[in-house]
Amino acid sequence: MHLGVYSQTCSSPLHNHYTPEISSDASVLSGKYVKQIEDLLSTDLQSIDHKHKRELNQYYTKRVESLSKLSQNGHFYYNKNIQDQIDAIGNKLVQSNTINNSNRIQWVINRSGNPNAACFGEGTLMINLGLLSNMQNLDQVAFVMAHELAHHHLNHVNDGIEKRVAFENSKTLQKKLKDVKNDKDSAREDLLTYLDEQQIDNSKHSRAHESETDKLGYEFYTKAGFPANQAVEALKILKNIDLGKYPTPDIKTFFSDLDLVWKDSWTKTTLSGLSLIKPSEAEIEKYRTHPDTDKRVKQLIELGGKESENNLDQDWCNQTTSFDVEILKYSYWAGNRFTAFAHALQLYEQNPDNKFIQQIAANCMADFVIARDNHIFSTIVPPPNIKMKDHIFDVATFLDNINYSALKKFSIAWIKDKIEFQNNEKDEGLEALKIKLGFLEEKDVTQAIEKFTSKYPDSHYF
Amino acid sequence: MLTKSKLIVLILVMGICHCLTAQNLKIADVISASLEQSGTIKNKDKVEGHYVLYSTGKVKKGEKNFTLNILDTELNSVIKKSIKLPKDASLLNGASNGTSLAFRFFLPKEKEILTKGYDYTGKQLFSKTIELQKAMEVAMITTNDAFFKDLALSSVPGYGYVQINPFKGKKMGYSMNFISDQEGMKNFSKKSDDSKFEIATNLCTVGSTVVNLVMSRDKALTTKDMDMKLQGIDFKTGKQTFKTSLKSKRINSMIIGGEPSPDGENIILYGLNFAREDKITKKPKGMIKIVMSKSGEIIDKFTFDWKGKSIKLDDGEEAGNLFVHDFIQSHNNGNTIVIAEQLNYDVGATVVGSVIGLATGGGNSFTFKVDDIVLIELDKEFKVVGIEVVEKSKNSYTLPGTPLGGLHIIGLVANSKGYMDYGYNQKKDDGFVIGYVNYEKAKGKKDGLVFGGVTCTDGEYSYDKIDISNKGILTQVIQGKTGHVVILDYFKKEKSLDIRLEKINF
Repeated sequence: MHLGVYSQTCSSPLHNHYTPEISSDASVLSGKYVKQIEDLLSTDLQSIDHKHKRELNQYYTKRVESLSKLSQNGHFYYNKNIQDQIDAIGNKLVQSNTINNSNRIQWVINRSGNPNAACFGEGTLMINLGLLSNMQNLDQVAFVMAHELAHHHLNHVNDGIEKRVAFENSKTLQKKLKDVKNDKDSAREDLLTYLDEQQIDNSKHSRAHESETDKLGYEFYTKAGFPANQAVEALKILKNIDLGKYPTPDIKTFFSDLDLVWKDSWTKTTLSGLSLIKPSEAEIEKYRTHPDTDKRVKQLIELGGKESENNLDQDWCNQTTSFDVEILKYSYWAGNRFTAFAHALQLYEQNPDNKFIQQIAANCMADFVIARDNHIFSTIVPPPNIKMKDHIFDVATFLDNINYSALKKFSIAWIKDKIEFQNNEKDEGLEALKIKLGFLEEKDVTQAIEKFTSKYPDSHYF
Repeated sequence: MLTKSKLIVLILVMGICHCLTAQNLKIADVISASLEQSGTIKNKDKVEGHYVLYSTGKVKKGEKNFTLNILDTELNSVIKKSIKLPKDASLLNGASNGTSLAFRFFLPKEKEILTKGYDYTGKQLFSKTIELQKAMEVAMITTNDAFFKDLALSSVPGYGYVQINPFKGKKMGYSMNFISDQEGMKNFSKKSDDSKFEIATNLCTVGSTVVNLVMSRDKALTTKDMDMKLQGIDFKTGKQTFKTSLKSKRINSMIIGGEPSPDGENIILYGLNFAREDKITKKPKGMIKIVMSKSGEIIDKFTFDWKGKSIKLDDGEEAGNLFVHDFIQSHNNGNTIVIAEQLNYDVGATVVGSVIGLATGGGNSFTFKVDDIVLIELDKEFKVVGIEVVEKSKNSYTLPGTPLGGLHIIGLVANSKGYMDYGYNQKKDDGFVIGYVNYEKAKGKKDGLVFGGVTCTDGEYSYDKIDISNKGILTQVIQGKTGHVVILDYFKKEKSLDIRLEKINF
């Protein structure tokens, strides 16, 4: 249990019929963003003056292509309200400091639940909803943004690309590759050792960069007038981010409304022996790209940062709950049924009557049953792993332990209990289960089969 | 429980095993050229993980660098060991005893068996080489890989490992090597009686006592009855604690498997029972369960005779000829589940040859049919209390020679060649799981290989099938953690090996 963390959980109850908003101007905002990064790319490509011009050109082009796809394919969260708040913080930071290439900066929000933020080097600075959701107030958000801004200012990403291109074209690497091609003695082993050494070296440099970025980010942050204590609090949240924002859900309670026999063995881990081996601390340290968070907090305190209590801003927390539902929607939409289900269980515990959460949980369960029917379960649900976050581990253990007939029985009972089927229900997994339950008319079946089989080409469920 | 029946076929057909296993070698070559070696790491009956060995390039002429990738039961890579070995080395098997891992390699050019042990951090604990002195020893390793893969390396929790290798002295025998993974504990070895034809296999361990079955003949392999002895060796002292002859106890049985009793106090042995005057090449008259003390005394025995007890199937037909693969001692009620497979054969037009087993001369051949799996539940008194028939597609195979040793011997040969469908069994707290691979011919479907899983939970049976055809150019199915199966697909073009863990639905 991680009660110390949950006492500061930033959330609020949801209305029973709350569903995530659909932005009406997403395509306009996306188009604007894509146009800007493509325009900047054209300029950048013309101005490359480097002996590895062709390779750099490829890297820069691929970067923009990836970002454009993310934006155009619906991975970014174009919500005017939150975007305005983020842009306002970004402007405050830029106006209070002298930032290199500040005219290029565009803040985007990724719908992913992964608590992370990123600088892409060409001007895009991205924050994931999963990170925003964990912050307790906008000042903490500002600290994260100041950190990414420092990466941008210090040109870390572009320097990294140049370094990588230089490495790929280095005589040493080319010779080692040639030796492998010619099947020289120990060539392949030498190459693998060399690449591993490079990775360790890169991690070392990355840690040094992060430390430098923390310092500069903190400087940007305080110069813009944000409170020093929230910088420390933001880092402390990052330190515990793996514990998750919400308590580990009690899976038994999730099914408690159903009059079915529950087996406690379903939630007990069966991992043993080799499955309990964790990498050593030394091994983790070797490949770590960021310094240990305790060291980062210590550095901030030395620079004048302070710890504080009662950091929750209720207005912000109300917003973060809507982020959590958006993350749920995104996980399911992106096809990550397992993550969606684990997240739905957490949110359901806080909001047991919310129809949207119930609906996503139902869809996931329907998909799990169908996946088990088709023996594609392992492609959508990972087996339990001790490196997983607690609540993820518990859900993985449950789905690993529960036998097929019980899963089907529980899923059908839960869906019948919670979901009111409507004629316009078009989700593939749920439709397939409805067919199984005999809820669909014959005429709807053909369409459902087509949808399902296009999604799971290997299936033979029907 | 391990299937020991392969032992008998080895003795019976030793003279012709080159011929019988030629196809196996061909299959093994395909694997080593692409999929390399992969398998399941077991600690007794429990699956602890899996291993994959692949080449990571040449070190110098004739020597390659291999990576031994050890996966946990969830297929996470937990240890990667880089090992320099001769380029034609192959990994025979892997085992775990709960605190360490052991792997057994065959080095053909050097004619050596190399056994390496590691702790769970990947630190090497031991490396032991056994030289194979004679061509016959090498032949037995290379021509009967399935046999040696299953039986030649056993774990002894808290002590180490026992490996049994062929040893040719004056007559064909065995060497049994006890390799300790504990600091300060000595390794030792035991060899067969040089005056006899002998072969041994490990049945189970109880504490530090390693229980083996030693089968011996005084003269030629195919002429006289075989003497079965149960042997106990204390890993701590290296001393033999008992050697009990079944013949002397008026028991004429072929022991197939053994395991400690549920209370750990005794040893339960299962096997086929023969009429006292019969050779074990004849049709068995039934089955036997023997309860033996840790000191080797036979405390009790229960028998089941086929005579007058024909097994009826659901449709009223008789089950016909059943080949017994294995026995499961149920956790729930102490009952025994007999795993058998239906087997029938048609003899060709001309019957020649006089050697028991198979005679390969004269260009004769015969066809046999492998049909359903039949599970027979016997109570503590060895009386039938339930029968479950696992229906699957019938498949026919042809073997060279003439079947003169009865159906049971045909079954042993067919099983050693991998022609029978039954794969393995696993116990779980509330029952057991059985896995098999069948070439399925179902109406309206393309013929293809399926993995079949039969799960018994609190006495209730359920069935599941997983399509394992049409994936990579090579597909392998290995035992996964309880209730799971691991499917490996090798894609030659992509030079990739896909490994997936799939649940068996029940």
